[in-house]
Amino acid sequence: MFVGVAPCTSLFRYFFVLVKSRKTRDHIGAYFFQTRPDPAIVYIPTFGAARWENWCSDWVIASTEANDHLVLPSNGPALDRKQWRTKPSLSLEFLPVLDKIKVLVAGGLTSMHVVGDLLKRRIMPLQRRPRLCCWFTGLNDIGRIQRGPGTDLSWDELELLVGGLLGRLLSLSP
Amino acid sequence: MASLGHPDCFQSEGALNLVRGLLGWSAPELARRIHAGVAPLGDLAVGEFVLFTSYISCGLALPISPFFLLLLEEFGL
Repeated sequence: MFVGVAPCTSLFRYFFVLVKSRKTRDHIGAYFFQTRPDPAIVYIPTFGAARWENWCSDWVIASTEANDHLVLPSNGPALDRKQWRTKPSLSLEFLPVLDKIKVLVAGGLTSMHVVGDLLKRRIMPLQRRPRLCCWFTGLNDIGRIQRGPGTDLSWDELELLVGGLLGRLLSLSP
Repeated sequence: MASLGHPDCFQSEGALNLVRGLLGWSAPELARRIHAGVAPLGDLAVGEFVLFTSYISCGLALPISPFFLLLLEEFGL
């Protein structure tokens, strides 16, 4: 949305690595993506750890159609663990993208602004949609989860949702 | 999952409407798919799953993007 390029796995893996969460007696275990711990890589600052504190009491029950990705996996990733952190070599055509991200970071963009913007525009991250976010056209954009007048979140709702998702108060001023 | 406690949030209709609104599931036939959790363990009907609100921000409310599926495939998840 802010950078304006189509999603690409090599670019994603340049910035993120797969991590296995610590497994306790009561937890089955989980994997998540984390910003690559490399000071040479400049990326949009992410959220603090506080957002996870209340995750156990922050849930609802949803009914959906069957989907393979909702089946609890019994095994870990098929990819060898050493390859989780392998940094891909990006071709020269990605240099303007990396430069753009550096400019945005220097300008004060944080993950909170990204989440706030997605919620305000009613665009769900990582959800299938026909167009890139950077081509957003407004209230009737085909990528919105709800379209038309009256479907924008009020400021109070936006504040509450961002606070609930990120564990901090909404402030969209960089 | 065994340690999953009683939820503190999203117990009132007003709070559930926030989740429905976030998903874009405000129409009555979709809205009823989201309900407060009471005792999830061993009490989920077929097709029901527990949805943590942070999952919503990751797009795990269906349909999932082809890019995310590609990413999962790349790691063999």
